[in-house]
Amino acid sequence: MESIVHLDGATKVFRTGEVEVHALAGVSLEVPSGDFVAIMGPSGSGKSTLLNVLGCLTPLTDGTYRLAGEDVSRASRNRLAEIRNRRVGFVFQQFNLLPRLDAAANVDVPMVYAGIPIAERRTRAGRLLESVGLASRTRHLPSQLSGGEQQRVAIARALTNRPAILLADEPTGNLDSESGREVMEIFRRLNEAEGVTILMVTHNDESARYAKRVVRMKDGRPIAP
Amino acid sequence: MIPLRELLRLAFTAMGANRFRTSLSMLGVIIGVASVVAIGSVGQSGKRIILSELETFGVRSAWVFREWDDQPSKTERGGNWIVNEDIPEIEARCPHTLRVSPLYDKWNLWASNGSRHKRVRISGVDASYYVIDNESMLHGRFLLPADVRHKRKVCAIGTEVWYALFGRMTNPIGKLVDFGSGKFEVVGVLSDKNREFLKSIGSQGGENANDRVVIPYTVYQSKYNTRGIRALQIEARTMEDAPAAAEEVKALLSRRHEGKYKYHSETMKQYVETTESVVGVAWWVALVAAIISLVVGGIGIMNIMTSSVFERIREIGVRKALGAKDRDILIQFLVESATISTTGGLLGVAFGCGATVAIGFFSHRPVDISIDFLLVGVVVSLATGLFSGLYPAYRAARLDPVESLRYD
Repeated sequence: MESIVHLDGATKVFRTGEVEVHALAGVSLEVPSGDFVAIMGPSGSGKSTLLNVLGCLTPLTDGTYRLAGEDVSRASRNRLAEIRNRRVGFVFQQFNLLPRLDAAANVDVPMVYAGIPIAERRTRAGRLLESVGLASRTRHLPSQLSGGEQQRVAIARALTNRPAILLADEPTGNLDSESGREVMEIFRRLNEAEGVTILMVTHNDESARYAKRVVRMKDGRPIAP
Repeated sequence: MIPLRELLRLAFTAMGANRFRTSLSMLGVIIGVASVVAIGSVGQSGKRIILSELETFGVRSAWVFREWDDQPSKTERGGNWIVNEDIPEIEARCPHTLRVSPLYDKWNLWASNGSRHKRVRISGVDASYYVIDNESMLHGRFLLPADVRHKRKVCAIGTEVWYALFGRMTNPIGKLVDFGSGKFEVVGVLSDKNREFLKSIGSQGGENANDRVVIPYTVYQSKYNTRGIRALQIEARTMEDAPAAAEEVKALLSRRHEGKYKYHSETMKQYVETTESVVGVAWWVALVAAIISLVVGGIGIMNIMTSSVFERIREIGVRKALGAKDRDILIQFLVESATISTTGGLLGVAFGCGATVAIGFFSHRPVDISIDFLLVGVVVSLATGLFSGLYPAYRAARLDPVESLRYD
């Protein structure tokens, strides 16, 4: 069976004026379905860029990226948006909930872009919020929720369209250790019980211990463990 | 494609988040649309009022009378410039003319039924005048051709004459009226003619039409011992034909009177056209004013949308990460700006209707809200929103997801 993520010689070059920055300098990465990968490394090592590439937020300068069997290196802007919508779930360090929408409406957003009928959106949003322990918080605005609760809403949102991969960028970075543990427990459950493939950037060794394996980045390349 | 319902919900959420700023940016559109509706309604109503009063003269009418500025020689200062024998000739030889009637008018005569008196205007006309002058009867009948032919002393009276001489409760038909030389039998009451507006602007045509007494012109000629006809009122085939009809009649009269007199004519068409051009000028001025305020309103909306896009760069990044296409973002912001402007437009319609009703109330004239201008107001406000939202929405749509997610 082919890997969910197949990255081959991925290169990403940023150009600022005369200076070229090789954020990714030929990364090859295979992530089989059901894996749980922690990506670690010092800042500037290219792990955020790697996550943006994996999330189809930014195109590669060179190399090949296949996600769930589809070559996305040459996909159009529109197709990339569809792939982000259907195949990728994002969890951010800053939670990035839309401040004027309540928890249920935030979970709703990816399903709206997927064109799912409202009745099904309601049930799915309800079920997902329940699964992250927020059944009683559906009508709350993000500002009325704690950091841990906001991050759990974000996880529910990331899962709405049953993505092939869940990408998390320092998911516990803005949380106290208790909330951070709760979030990591949810990740573990999703990975073990439901087989969700997770790639997570983290600085936190404790969070990294939840992963099945760790990829360490330096100077735009994974280094041998 | 996102359902419109979702888009509107998003738009109202965004508007609600900054009510004061949103209201301010709506102001231009509100003022613009309100003025379109009010000015359009008042303009159309005014035009309708004037035209309906002009119709009381018959819009196909033309008047032919003597040109008094022609410096006549002594012998020609008097004379009969139109005579009864001209009438059948006009009817036979003027193809643009449908009907013709002599028209005598005498103002400020006393009418009396023996005990009550009323100052009236006497008009001597033919039976055809009924159609030419767009008359209708409230009671009884108009003058008949036989009345004219046999010089019967009969009359049709205006309502004010009826009320003054007999009272509203008395049927005037068959009653006798005296104008100082013999009694006339009342055969009919003429329907009221409203010339209030023409009167209020001091127009020559603004005389009271309801204190008239209409008698056969043949009787008038005997009564005042005259053979010369002072003026003719003719009905052209169409309003457009009226000037041609008048020229025809003038030419025929000149010929028949061997060029002794010059004739002058006026047509209702002139007055209708004058009305339309005056209303038209007012309409254009109003339109330009409305366009200016809509442009200003549009700039206001463009301004608020630009800052709205700036404030929500992060939201745009999140939406893109969650699967929004460029098109989805574009449409979201377009719908938002169209919702702002259309809400302003609907408020403007409401204010415009209020202003129209108020103008009608204080001017004591029937001013009706113009549905046409109401629709124009709504459509134009929608278009203003779409147009002024276009550039900010385009900028939002083109934002890079990674950059926008990093934006604080």
